[in-house]
Amino acid sequence: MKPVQPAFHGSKHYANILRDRLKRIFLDMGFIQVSSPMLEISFWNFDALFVPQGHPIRDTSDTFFVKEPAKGLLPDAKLVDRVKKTHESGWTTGSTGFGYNWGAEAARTNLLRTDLTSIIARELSNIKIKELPLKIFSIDYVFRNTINNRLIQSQSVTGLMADEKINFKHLLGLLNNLFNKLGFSETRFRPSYFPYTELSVKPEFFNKSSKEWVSLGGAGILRPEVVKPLTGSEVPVLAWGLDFERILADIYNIKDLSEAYSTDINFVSSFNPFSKRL
Amino acid sequence: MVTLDVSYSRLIELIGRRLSIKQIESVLFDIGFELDEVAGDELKIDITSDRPDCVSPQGMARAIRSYLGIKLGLIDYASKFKKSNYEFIVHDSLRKIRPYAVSCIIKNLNFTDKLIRDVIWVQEKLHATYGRDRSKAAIGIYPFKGIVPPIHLKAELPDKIRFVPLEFDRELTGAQILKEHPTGQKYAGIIRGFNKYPVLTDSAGNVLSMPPIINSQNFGRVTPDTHEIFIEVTGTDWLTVNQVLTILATMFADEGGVVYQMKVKYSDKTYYTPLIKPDRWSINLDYINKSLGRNFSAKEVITLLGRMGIDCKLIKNKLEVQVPFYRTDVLHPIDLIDDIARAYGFNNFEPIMPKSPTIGGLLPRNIFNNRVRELMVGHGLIEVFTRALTTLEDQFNKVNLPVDKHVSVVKPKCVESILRVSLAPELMKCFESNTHGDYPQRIFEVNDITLIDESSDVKSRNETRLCAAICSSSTNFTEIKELLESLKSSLGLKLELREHDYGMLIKGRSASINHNGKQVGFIGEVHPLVINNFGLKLPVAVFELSLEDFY
Repeated sequence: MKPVQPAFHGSKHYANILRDRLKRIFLDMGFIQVSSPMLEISFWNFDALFVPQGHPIRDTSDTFFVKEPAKGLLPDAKLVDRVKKTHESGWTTGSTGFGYNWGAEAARTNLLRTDLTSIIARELSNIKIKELPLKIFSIDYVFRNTINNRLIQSQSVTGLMADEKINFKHLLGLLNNLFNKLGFSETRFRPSYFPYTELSVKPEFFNKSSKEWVSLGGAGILRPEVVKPLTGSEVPVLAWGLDFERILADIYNIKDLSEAYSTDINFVSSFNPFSKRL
Repeated sequence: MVTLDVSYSRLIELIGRRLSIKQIESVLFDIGFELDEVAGDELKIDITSDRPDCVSPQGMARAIRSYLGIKLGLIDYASKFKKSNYEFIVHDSLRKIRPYAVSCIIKNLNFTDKLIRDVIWVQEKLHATYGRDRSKAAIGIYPFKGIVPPIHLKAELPDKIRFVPLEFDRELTGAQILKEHPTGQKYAGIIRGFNKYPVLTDSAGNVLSMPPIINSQNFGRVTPDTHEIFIEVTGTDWLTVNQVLTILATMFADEGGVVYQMKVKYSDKTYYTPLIKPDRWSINLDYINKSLGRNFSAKEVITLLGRMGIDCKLIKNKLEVQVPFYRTDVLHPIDLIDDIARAYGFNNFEPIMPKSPTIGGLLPRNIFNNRVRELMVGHGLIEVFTRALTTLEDQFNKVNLPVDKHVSVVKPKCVESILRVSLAPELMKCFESNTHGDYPQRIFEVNDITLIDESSDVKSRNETRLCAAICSSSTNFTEIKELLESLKSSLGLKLELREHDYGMLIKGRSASINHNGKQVGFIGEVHPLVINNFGLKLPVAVFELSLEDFY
């Protein structure tokens, strides 16, 4: 027989195949997809998440601030006032706050969202306590002002569950279920620190080829200083933001994370390894 | 994230118990730190930014000792600190420049090379992180011998300040230090804007330093002969300067030093610093168990908190807690619950799935986008993935378009500095990086672009676009139009084409795509100039369509 070329075919991008799979998993778990703007005001990205003004992450060295349009509009004045008081003195959350004067101008500064937690803040501000549980997810771009090419634009896999009577064990349960479905056989939870969560967890998986534990992102229970100003209640809120590229690299066995999104057309059309994890 | 570099032997010496590297790694994991690197005897430990009290080897050893139960609960520094009559006078002239300053004296110290190394390390780390590059808090350490108290901190005209700064052999003025001294140049920004600079002098008129910039060569250099030191912390936040001073004082106390609290006198108030009184919290057992899904008894909680260096007593059904003053991370009772969980071990909690049934759902736009993507793949197109952040050059100049309104960022560290307003230029870039590949190349992308929109709270909006492009020797308007036509009929879209000039496309072979009388896209053959700009040798046909109307 004459040797033949494989037939020409169209193809989805392998990164989007994983994104579609992740969406399926969230749907199966009863989560609703939400979205928010890429360009975000500092208020939703930082202030509503109890990141104090003057925190190093709010510096141009980490965050892309927007030159044009430089400023956006703050939401409802009552909400802004609750956030202000929480930063300054803890408001009624039982917190000490940070003891500084919170300024509205800094909160109006536009930036490229650094995290999808801005979606979480926006969604929580619309929550109706009577309609709990709230279960939402989003998979979208986030930006970091860095010389590390892979991190300039990456994707975050974010989820949130708010309900009375849920606790730390449920956070671990939700994450475990997600990791099982993605085929991570060995995972563990590392205590960590994020400004907007307490307890704070870094989930990790064991990479069998490099024999190393690899971080999958961050998770935690949102701080009362975040939840109460946004919702008016102290309902427990579990949240996480996972690193899409780390999941991608493990499933497709990509060694160099900077190659997570190849634009090589031949490669994209031929690189569709079948995996039970997809 | 801060790192602590410490040798294994030094850490073991400070902990006072022989532990293997594995044991250290496991304790660090549970507390929330990470043993990042082991190179011979040297350890690199990653510390989260909420625990500045652990950036010194002494503080780290203290946390490990508690966790292992070698010393449970609060360490009683309060009874070890001695009140002294040494005065530190903070003048009103400082109020607008650097309003807060605190200080102490430590005696009975044995400044070994190891300790000098530790002190330099801690000072640098606290400056860089918690002190925000010395602007929020800065530390000065001086041999106490030779200093005549009371010590004064005041503001002086830059030309009136004269002393020999560290590493120099001649006198400079305050203004000269900012211009000529490397450290002065580095931190000049903190004080340059003021007409007077802070200066620290003793009662014999000796200049000790110009905080937060640099110490005097004659009075600000600690050597192995030093046994008594004077420490001052200046800054813009009262709590921060106090916490930094306490972190240092407790570190020296752990080294056997005797801490003398100084009388810090402001014009309206006097304090004895370092502050050491523990913060008091009261916490409900129910709140702990509700948050953790456990059934801990008060006794268990008391032991668990003890292992985090925190005291807890059960008084009238309430847990009364005393947290060390240097634990800057405790803002709310939830922070204590986090400590309880760390002491218990995060991985000892049993993960359970919440039992609240809900119905999941995709955004309507997502469902529509998926249909579109499937149709494109069915037509033999390959999906590509390009970035939202791009360059002005790619979005406008290279595609022969005048610069239009767009979102741009401040001080990017990368070449990309704007958010794309169109997908087509990015697909051209994709062809540009694939000239080595086989032809024809048929690609598409469904993704968001960003447009300026004054009516939105963020003054911009995302819009989802479909862009399809074909690069081959035979491609033309007809081929790309066939693709658009099949999309129209498959999805039942009412689209009309009207002849339309677009800089990126060849005149006469381009059209606008319209929906309900409004332009929603463009289609045509790419201009040879543009093809050339992207280094291509073959024709390209393209269409780009906003999907917003169809959701």
